Amino acid sequence: VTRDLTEASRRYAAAAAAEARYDALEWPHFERFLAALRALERKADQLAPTQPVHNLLTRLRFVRRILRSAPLPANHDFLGLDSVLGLDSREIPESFGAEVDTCIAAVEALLETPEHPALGFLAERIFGSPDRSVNALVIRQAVDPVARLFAERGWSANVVDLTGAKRADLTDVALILGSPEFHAHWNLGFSEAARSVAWLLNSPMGMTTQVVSWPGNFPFDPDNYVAWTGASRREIPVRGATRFTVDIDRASELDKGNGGLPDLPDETGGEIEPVPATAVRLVDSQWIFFSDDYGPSPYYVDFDDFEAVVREAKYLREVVPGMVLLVRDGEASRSFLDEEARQWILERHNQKRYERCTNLRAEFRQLMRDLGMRPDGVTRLRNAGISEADAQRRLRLANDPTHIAPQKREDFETLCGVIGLSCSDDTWSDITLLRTAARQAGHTARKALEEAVRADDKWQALVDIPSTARITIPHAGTVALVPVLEVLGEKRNVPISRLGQLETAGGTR
Amino acid sequence: MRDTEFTSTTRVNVVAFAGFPGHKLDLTINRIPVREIPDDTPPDRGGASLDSDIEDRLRNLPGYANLWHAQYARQCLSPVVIVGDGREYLQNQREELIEDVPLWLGDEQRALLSEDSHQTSNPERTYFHPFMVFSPQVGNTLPWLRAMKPRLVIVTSWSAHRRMHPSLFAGAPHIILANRRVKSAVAAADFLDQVKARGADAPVPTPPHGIFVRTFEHQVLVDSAELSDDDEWSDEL
Repeated sequence: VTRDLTEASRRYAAAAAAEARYDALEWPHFERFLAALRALERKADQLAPTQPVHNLLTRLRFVRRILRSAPLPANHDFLGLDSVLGLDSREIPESFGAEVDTCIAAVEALLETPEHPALGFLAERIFGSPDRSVNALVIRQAVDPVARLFAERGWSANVVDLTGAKRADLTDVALILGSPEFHAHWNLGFSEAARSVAWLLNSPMGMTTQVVSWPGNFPFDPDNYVAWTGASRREIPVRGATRFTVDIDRASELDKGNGGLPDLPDETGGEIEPVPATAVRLVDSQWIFFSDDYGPSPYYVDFDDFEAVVREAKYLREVVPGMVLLVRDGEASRSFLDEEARQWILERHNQKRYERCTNLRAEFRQLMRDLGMRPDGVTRLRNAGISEADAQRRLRLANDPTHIAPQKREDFETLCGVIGLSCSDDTWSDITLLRTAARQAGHTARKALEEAVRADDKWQALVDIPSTARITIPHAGTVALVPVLEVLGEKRNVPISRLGQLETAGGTR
Repeated sequence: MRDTEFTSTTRVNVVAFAGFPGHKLDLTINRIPVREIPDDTPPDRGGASLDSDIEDRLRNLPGYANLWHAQYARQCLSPVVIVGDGREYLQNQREELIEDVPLWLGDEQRALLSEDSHQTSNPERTYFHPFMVFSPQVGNTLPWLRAMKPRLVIVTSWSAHRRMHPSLFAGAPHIILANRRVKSAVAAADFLDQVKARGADAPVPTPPHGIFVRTFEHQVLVDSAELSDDDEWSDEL
């Protein structure tokens, strides 16, 4: 992006004077495909689909998603529609037979005349004048194949997703392929989605904005794209339909999975009392549990004006549907943090001091665990002036792998008094050092995560669907980026060791 | 520039410095630019002197000449404050403005904006410089700063405005720059739908170049955690 005053001035000039046009195209074969797929989806809502039907649905939904918003020929390799024709009909249960047959017939018809109608429109109306600069907006998943297709046809355009569009230098033509709302966050309702992308028409990326629509797109209403109530909007000449026969519910594209809450066996064999935790439903039939009192805090990806940033949710109330959580493989995460903390201490002190700190922590935790095993453990803590609830919490924390020791010295000394650990200034100094090192390690880990999510933004195409993406961080294992579908209001009892871990409906990672 | 304590005297137009009995200035008070600082402002904020180059430039400005001290002090006591993320970036933009579009600025503004003391983001130096550049959170732990009154506050994004302490620089006019291309634009639009627009007779600027302007009044809490609802007052933004 060019960030200078000249470009700024051009952008504002475009916002003041740019023209916008809307053209809707016809595509009967795709309309037939959409109707057939919809009938299959309805059937799958009534009867649980078998795996082959589920696979077929996934493929057809993918094709629908791409062809609704990107001008690719239906026989493009990226879509893989040929595989549908090779489906073995014996794998399809009879109850789905009619709907599947209709879908396959629709796919055959689509493949007979595969050219996307938008391509003819673009050849004639946009790329007929080769001197014009063009920004073309398509959904993130389709950026690469569309850019390749345009290049093959000798069309010069800067093909971008929504993030790229924000950064793009102003061009003569801004092409919006498909509904503007396709580019909004999947978690928004239609009206909010329209508002979130309204800037495409009121702060455009080209002097002429051309919206091209076709069956499968959402209804188009120019009034949706004003900056705010009362702000001026220019006339948008409309040609063709602004509403199509098959209206697709945005929510129907979400695969919420069919699994209920996972079953989480207690790996300690019941020695440790589980803790109340909030269940968070994630995409792809996954779950994760968090507690404000125990275990790790959720990390999530957010965006400032231009870049992805990794933030920590200090409280669970910050976790909301639509958020993308970053979840690391538990063991790799822990060893990475431990190693970072060790290095931090070694840089300032020595191995002996490090060992003293870790031995102290281990001893403290072991003595607390021993206390927890005693029938009078809670009573002993209560006799030392600790409330029952706090006593229970302290005993559980001894089993929390992320926990070090109480934050306040007086609380630590009280516990030491009960478990028979001597607490000198040196002891407290070691605890403080360990905690500082852990905090620094957490900071380093967050920065490493941030670098990794910025280094390659391919994950964005997956979480946009929404689906799970994975990235690998050197020396720190794999991180899953998982969109949140729902945060359950009711708490569940969960073994402390399972907090912050990805779980599937079967209870496995 | 320096913080000074004054005491009242019985003589008209005479100002006495506290701590210096008998030390009086026989001056028309309005010739001495002064501004009351809020309670609990740190007692020793030091002082600020001006770079000799800028001093020379100010001396040569029409109307400044021998009064440049006073003119400069008036600007410092009524600063323009920029609030936004990325203070270094904002400081760079200031330099870019001076270098690339000098014609946008008059001689006086150019001289005042040239001051690069590296202290203009230090809240303790407020009222010592003609402009300040702060992060949105600057007032969260500094009640005395919140009570200061700049001439104008320019907030560089809607999200920065939402993160500012609700009473930061209350009473000063604010300009909030909302970028239509970012997520918070929707929140800004919602907010504008909810707040009362200024009276119909108030002129709403209609700038060119695709900039949309909305002026509004906004309830601002007076700065105290113990406030009751009755203590709210309305302030124009």
